Amino acid sequence: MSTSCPLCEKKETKWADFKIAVPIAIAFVGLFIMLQKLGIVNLVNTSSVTYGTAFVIGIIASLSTCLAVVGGLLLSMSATFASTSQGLRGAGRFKPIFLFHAGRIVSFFILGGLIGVVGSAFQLGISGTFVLGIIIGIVMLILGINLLDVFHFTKKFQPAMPKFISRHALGISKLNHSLTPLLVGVATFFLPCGFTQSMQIYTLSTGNFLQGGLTMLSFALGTLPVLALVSFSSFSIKDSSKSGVFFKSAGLIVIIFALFNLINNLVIIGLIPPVFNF
Amino acid sequence: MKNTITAILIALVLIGGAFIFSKSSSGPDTGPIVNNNNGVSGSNVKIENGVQIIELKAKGGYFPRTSVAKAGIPTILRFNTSGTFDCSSAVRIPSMNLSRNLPISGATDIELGNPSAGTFRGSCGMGMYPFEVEFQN
Repeated sequence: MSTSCPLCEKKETKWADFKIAVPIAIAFVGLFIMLQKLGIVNLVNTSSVTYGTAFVIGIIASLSTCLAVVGGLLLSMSATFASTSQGLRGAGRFKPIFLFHAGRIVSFFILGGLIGVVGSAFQLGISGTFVLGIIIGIVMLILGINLLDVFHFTKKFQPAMPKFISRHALGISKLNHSLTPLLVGVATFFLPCGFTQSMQIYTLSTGNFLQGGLTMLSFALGTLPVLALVSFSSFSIKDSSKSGVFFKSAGLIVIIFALFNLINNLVIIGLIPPVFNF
Repeated sequence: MKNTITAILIALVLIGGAFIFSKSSSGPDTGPIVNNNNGVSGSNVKIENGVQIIELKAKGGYFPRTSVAKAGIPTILRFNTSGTFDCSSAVRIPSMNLSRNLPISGATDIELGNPSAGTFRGSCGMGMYPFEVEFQN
């Protein structure tokens, strides 16, 4: 407690961050569960799909459990990029986030158009869905754990994290100069999200490239506001004095979403009975 | 702090906008489904021409969540959708290794054969909307 012990003081700040970060994470997850329990997905009452309704379905999808998958992945990525791009200034540091959103929106248009032409949905089989889900869950878990100690944990106080995990997490966070964000954006087309799947099924019936592409594009644009908010919040907050709290909150939320995804993945292959109901 | 407030405001506007938009585009008779039927229900099970039909409403989950039906007779699981875009439009039944996409609106039958007594479980494609059928002798 004394001022002559800067290390002790520092350590105290670190844990103080958690005192705020934990309630924030709990409140966020609570709000998320409440949105699902209120039946946000039932807001869609239309049976016909126009570009306008596809857009609204996109907005609702971005607030539904799909947020736990796509949003969680995006939050873990952008928070990791933000926390590791200290030296970068200006628009350059947003590059990976722009690449992610560009990859997502362009691929939704092109793949949607292709579905319209080819007449069959591009969906992974159950084993593909399971493998992709487990990989994403584990990546999110690693990035989430990494976010918890990024700012205030020094090596001394850091609980011994297995070497291979920290090395992998570091590897993932260094990828912001490559095309990874773009590819992850494209990959979101195949992520398990009920809304994306049913939009794909609808797109089948359009039978032409432009209509199919524009439907999926409208849907992707509908998901953009919430996803953009998730990704850019990391960058706007990172320079403020509250950044430690933010990254810890983000880390906790990402870890919770990662566990949610991993458990649900065990459910769909029938390893465990369903756990959640929202 | 300013950013946080802006973020919350944007989120509220989006949610509110979604509410308003869907309210105006919906008919008067298609209100949201009330999420309160957790209990056991038998009214969704009927027998037609010797085939037992278990009807489930698929939208924002499966309703009723738990059904009670007879074991050992030919059985069909029928999913009714109406404007269903959420996860419940993708049915997943691990024990049958079955994944099925439901149409946005309509009825989809899944044949269960002659199920033996016990609990039959399924969920949506992402695993978070469960349903189960208690097959009793």
